[in-house]
Amino acid sequence: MRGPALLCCASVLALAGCVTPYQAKLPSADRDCAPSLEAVPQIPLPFSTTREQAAAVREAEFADIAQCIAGAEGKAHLALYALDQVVPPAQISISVQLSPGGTFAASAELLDAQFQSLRRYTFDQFVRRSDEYSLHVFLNAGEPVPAFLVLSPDSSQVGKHDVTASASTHTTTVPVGTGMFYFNMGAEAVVSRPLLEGGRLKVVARRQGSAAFSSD
Amino acid sequence: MNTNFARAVVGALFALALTGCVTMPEQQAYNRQAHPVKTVTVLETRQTKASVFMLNHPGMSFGLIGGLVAAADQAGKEEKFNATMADANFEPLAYFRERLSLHMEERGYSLVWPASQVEQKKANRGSFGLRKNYGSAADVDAQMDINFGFVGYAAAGATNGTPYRPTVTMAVRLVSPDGKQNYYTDYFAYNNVFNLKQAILLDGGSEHVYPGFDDLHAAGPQSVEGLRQAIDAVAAKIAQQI
Repeated sequence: MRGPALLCCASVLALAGCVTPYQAKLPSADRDCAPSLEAVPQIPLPFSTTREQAAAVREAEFADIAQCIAGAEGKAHLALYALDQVVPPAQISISVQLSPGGTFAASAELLDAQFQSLRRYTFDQFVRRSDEYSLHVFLNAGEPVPAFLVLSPDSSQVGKHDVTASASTHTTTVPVGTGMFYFNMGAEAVVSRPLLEGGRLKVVARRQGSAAFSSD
Repeated sequence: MNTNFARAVVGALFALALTGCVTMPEQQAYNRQAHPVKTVTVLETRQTKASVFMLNHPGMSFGLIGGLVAAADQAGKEEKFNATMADANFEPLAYFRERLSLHMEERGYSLVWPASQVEQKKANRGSFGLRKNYGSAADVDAQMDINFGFVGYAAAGATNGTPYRPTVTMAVRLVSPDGKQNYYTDYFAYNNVFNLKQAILLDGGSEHVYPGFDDLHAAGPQSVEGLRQAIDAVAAKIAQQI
């Protein structure tokens, strides 16, 4: 009896707007920094072999998974994923979630086993779609196989804003006699979301697939 | 006038499709390393005319008669905007060809265009204009199937708070020379007035935004410039994705 009552109260609080809006966490400046990439703790990236496994991958806060590294240009924060479970031909999908509380302006880099750069992607190569920015990178058989994926803030984009105008429809219902009259009105909202050094992201590695041609 | 009226009715039905009642083509990201491409043949596209559309026209709430009033209103506005474009010597399809060719060449691709950009024979297409199947093409690395969904000005509603914005939606697919492999498929929306959830979104900013159609019409050639920028932005984004 207690459980359902508590759930009911939590739902009411959430609906009433008493839940704190999301605010992106930023990597801590106080963290001890690794002297080199080799010393940065690695995050094993699981390889999803089914759609269900891929759908089950959860978002993470960049600040929670990022490590500090001390380089020639000062401190930097990055997340270092190990790709030893990812078997080519594979596809790695990187997405960052849009929010008024902040969106992670990410850059991505693929490194070989000696931590040498193979391919680099800046944030302007991510595409804006619905409520996220995303990037797909491919690991093909017969090519130099990346051993690591590095995600870090794209300093050229941090501090900018994602601005979008989005349309919506509001329906007003008016009782008329024994029936109802529905009146649709359009509305538009221009939303500005800051691009930051932190925010929510998701990284999914799965087999390469090929979309079918339209069947409709 | 009858042709414009019919187009307005079709446009209203199309807007229903655009606002999520029909499933979009399944997206396929481009694997550049696995399918290196230099020369691309562009397939014929459907005839495309600029439109002026209001997503929540007040007339649509008043049954069939209201719907016909809304369609007639839209047809009249389209006629005026097309006249403005004719005065500016602007044709959307031709301009898109010019800009896509330029942006693709900047990235090292060579486009081969058909003798007629508009299809001479109706192709078997899905609801977003992409072909359901493909033939083979010789001496090229890929075939590109492109189709405008909407090109023109669109507004979310009838108030000053829902202005007319230059709006372009487009479906793009890249297939293998034998027409059997789907190299790339995606959908683009410049100023997402139609709220397409899975499209690649491009924001047009606050320039070339008009509170009402009278303002749009009064802007004359400036309104055409807004559409130029929209088409160019979509062409540039397509080239960036390939």
